[in-house]
Amino acid sequence: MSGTMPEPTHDEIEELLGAYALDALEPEETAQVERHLRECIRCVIEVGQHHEVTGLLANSGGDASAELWHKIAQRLDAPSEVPSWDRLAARLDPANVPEAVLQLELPPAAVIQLDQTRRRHRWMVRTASLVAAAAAVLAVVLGVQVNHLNHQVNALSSTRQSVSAVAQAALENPTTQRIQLTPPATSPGPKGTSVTLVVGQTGTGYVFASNLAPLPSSQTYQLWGAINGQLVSLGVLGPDPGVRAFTYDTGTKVQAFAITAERGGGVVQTNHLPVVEAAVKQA
Amino acid sequence: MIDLELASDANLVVAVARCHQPALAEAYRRHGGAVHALSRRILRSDPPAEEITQEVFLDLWRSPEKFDAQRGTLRSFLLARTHGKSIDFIRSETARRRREDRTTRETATAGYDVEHQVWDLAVAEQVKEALTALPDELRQPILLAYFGGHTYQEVAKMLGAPEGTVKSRIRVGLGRLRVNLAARGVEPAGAER
Repeated sequence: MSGTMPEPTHDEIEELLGAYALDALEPEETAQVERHLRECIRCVIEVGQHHEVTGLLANSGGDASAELWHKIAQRLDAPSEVPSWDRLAARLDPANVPEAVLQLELPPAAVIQLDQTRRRHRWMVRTASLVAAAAAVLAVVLGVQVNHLNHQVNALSSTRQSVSAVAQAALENPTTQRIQLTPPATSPGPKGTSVTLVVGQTGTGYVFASNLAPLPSSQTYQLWGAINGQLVSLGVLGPDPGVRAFTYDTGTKVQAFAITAERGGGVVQTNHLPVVEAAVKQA
Repeated sequence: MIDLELASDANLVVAVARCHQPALAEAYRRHGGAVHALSRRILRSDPPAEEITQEVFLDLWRSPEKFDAQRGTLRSFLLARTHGKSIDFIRSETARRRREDRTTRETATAGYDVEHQVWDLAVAEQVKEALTALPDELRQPILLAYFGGHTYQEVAKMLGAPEGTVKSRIRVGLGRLRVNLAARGVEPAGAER
């Protein structure tokens, strides 16, 4: 068929849908059907129904191969372009996404492997890949973007003396930078939640986290920075943080900040998705 | 907190879209076996089937938004992608000769062989029954196209039937199969939509 031929009618396309669902059309016909599917929801639904039927035919019910999964896991990369979450979210009703999905509890360990000898269908998670995946989340999150942030973060050092007053002064200091951490764009959680980070050139930063909903006493909020593709803990904030201070080195770029909810005492590496987050646009 | 083993497929994909690798692992655990088996059955060779299985899950990792839970299940989505990739492979230039040889063989056995294959694959008794309930003229074109990887034009030649008839029988056959499945309590997802 040539491109100058008239497009088939709806009825003609409909006749092709069964063969289309079986990948049994010639390329030209496939292209015609796919053009039609961009405009005809009825035909899209019919193709979906055919795929459900063929999916049942193909249902082998066999176990997935652990060895093959290992090959897949080795090839996983962090999405580098448009955040896939945002593309997916454009179609999702956030109210239908359970918050639990956004705060997944993961096993604490290493490439994810199927451990068939110890427990069938259980997965082990390798720390390196987990950190990379978590860092990728941070690298793509939405949030207020701040330029020229060059700090190496070391560890938390909470200054106990008049933190609030000093923090307020830092907030009002025109030379400091403010970073607004917000829930992921389509998070089903409270939309008004936001946390402000204030950082300057002194090596001390402040977290204004009064908006965070208090956690049970067995849990704590924890602040993280993504640095060179790794997540670094910047401090355990407590279950009801208010205003807290943290220290950092000035010199290394932080790609993103995030706050997670963790078990009491905090964790060395997080397995949770952020409660609030902000990407930092590099200069 | 969520137990991945209990999460719905749709929620797994949401988590995959959040670069959550264990969610992809769980999706693989649930559907990887069926994906691999389908590709191996169509290609009759394990190395390319393994490669296609990897591609299917890497695609899900990179473009999870292509799955639309409103249109069907994750399993049918993954299997449709698997089927498409497998068919692309056997229609590729490098595999053309092997395919031509196979076409010759299958023409001689006209559907018997592929029916045996589907018995291996279809674990549910209801699926077998629903297929058996289809008249031969509806069942054979579906099996030859789906598991044999033939176009409907090729199937028409193999069965000695007009192309338009085969095209129509495939569509009618799939619709009838769906009804047969529903009558046996197997309700394909999306059937009510």
